[in-house]
Amino acid sequence: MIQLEHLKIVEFRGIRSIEIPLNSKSFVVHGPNGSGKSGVVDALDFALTGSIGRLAGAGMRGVSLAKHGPHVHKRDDAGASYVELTVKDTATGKTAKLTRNVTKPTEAKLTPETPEMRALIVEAQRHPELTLSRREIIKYVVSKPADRAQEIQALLQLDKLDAFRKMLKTASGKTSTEYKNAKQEREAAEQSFKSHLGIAQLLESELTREINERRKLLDLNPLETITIDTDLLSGSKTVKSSSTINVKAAIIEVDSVVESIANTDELSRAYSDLVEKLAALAQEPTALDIIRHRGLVEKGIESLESNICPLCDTEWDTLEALTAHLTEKLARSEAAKLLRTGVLEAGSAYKIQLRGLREAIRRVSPIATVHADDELPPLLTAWTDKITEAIGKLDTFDDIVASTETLSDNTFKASPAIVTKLEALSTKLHDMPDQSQEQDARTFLTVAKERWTRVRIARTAEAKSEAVSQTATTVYDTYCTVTDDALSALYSSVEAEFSSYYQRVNSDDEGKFKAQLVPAAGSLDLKVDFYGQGMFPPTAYHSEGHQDGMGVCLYLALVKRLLGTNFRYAVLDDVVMSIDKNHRRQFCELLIQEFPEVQFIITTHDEIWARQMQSAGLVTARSQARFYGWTVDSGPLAEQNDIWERIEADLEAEDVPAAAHKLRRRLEAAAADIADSIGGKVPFHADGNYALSELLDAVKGKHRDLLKLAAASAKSWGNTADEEKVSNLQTQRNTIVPDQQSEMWIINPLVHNNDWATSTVADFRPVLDASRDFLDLFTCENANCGSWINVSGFPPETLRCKCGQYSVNLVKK
Amino acid sequence: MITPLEQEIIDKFQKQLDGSPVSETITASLVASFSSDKLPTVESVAELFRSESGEKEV
Repeated sequence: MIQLEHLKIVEFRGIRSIEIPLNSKSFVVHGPNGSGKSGVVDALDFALTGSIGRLAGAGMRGVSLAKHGPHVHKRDDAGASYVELTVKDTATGKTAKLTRNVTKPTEAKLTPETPEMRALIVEAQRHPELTLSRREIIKYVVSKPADRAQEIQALLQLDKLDAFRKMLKTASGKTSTEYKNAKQEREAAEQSFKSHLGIAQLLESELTREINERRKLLDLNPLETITIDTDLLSGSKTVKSSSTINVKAAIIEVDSVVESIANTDELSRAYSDLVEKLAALAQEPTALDIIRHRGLVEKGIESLESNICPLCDTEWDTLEALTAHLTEKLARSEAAKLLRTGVLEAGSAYKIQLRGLREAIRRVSPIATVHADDELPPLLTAWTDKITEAIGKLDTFDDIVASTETLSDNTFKASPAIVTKLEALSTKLHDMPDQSQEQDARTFLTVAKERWTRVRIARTAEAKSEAVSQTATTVYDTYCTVTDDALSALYSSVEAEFSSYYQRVNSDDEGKFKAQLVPAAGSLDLKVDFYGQGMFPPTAYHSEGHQDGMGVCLYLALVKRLLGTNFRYAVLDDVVMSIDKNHRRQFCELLIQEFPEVQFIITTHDEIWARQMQSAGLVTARSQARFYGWTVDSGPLAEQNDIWERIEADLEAEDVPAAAHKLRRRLEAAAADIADSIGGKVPFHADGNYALSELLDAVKGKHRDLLKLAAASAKSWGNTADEEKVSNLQTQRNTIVPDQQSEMWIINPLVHNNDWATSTVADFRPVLDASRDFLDLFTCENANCGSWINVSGFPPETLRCKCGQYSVNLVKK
Repeated sequence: MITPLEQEIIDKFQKQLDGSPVSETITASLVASFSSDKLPTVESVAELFRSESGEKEV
């Protein structure tokens, strides 16, 4: 997998030109709404996938990458719009520059072009889910169960699994139908043979008697046994005969068809019954939908817990009203189910009748070929084809319903021409002189042999198609079992991880939170615990902020399951804003501890949140870009790099007012964060705005008290090393704090009144140095730590930084 | 490229088919087709079942 090293954006979306050093580390872009942050996300999305997810979907009709990807000033010069993303192969550490131009979004130019890096880019392109916004993330929680199933399956890329399953199911259905047809052909062949011999069952004794009786008339040896491979005419010399038709048998066959044509009562009854059942079904326009949704409604009733419908999340006035609605729906489905059964039974009865007629006509066809005029055989063939087509439309309920319009009794009613010609054929056969006994026996055995051969072929075909069908069924069943097991385990593990993440973020009030993901009939139900009161849909009682938090946690659990150790980056556009203020530190810790190898590119409009990410150690001071404004001509007004480097840059340019402004902002932000981390108390302001002096006083006072506590603790334990360490910290503090205080008078009036215009760098330098020394009191010496010291435990137990290098005990013996 | 979940499923699928009467040719062919970018057609899989199940055509 790759991580992101460097981003260059030129004339793209709201950005004219910007470079952002991402350095394969987590990075935060912060700034007010409308400052161009999402342009960075769009650029990453475009570079990685060749498209912009935000420009697709509902409400984006008429908006396209080609037209609206370039900066508005370059809308007629799309070629000027491009993104360069330097990526790093996490396995080898090698880097390459990926360039995409809006004019050719599908062409990703790679420098250097190597097969390994190209494969990684193609793989990254397969994961658009790694770039997403709050709007996209919340859908996993608030969607309807059916939509949620689709969203989650798409994210987990389960569509291929489903497509493979459907393909195997169709193949299995196809071979099953072939087996059924082969079985029917075998039954028809056997029936045809039995009919010719005039026997009811294919018992060897019956066969032997009928066959040997005719063989005797031909002076042939009797057959002792008859198997499927037996030649019923074995031993007979080839005799040139004017006819292979056994006249007596032919008369029976032809008269049988003539009789069937003259008397179609049974067929008419079966046909009328089916037409009647289909008409009844048509009287209930919603019956078909109800039949298809019956299983879903049953599950809905089982899952009822509140007045929120578990199937569609619609809120009803009362649980009773919802129950009554679903029960009534189920009752209607009972009636619909009866209609369906009626249609299937009538269709099956009609099909059996049609098959019998078709078989009778087929037996007459060879007789007609020999003894009728030339017109009858093709007429009979056309008729059997028509009947076969009708039979093919009677297999499934959907087939039968679909054939409603084309059902016709003309299918089984013979045309006048056929009737006339069959009657003529019957007359001709009746008028023929009796065949000699020998001729009669020979033609009888000839027909028997032909039909016995048909039985053999049909049985072989049936055995083959049965084996094929069994294979297809075994393959399909095995695939379903394996997939169902894996998906159940997947959902179970996602459920557990999701619950665990959410518990960690909300450990103070929902430490026992649990969630259930229940897959059923194309939907995926999500229920969550609400303070031990039961399991409910997430939208039932939890606040929107909590739902957002669930969305992020569920997303992380899903992506972790999808990619495992290949989860190496994620671009989150204002997503973490969703976490409510009280739980952001825990959220940062979750990302740091659970996803230490993942590079998170995060945008937020909340500057405090950005600072919290830094103080929690998720991002460093250098891994930030601050967008403080935007204009259509210049794009985002951005600040990057370490604040102290930027202040130094201002001083080098002798721009003291700019340096002073930054220093004040830095002190305000830092003092607020330190007050928060060590528990400094300030007078409450309902508007949440605190003066810098209030914050600094709170920090200094609390810091002094904590060091006193640490000194007392060290003394009580008799730990001289700790006593000395704390003493040094106190000495340091006592030196630095007065210096900082002495410079305070100069900061406020100068910055507020903008008097720096007359001040020099030399005037400002002591202010800067004192401020930096002051803030250093609250950090350790490890440059990579980046966190403020904080108090852990209640009552206070230790004062320590994140990496542990700064750590003093606060508990007395 | 195949996802870890797909790989897990196809490995178990192969293992279970190996212990069934389904021919090795069918199993190998299905596993290979699952791993490729494009799924096979229904007819090609049905034909595979026909050619490799029951008595072979000569």
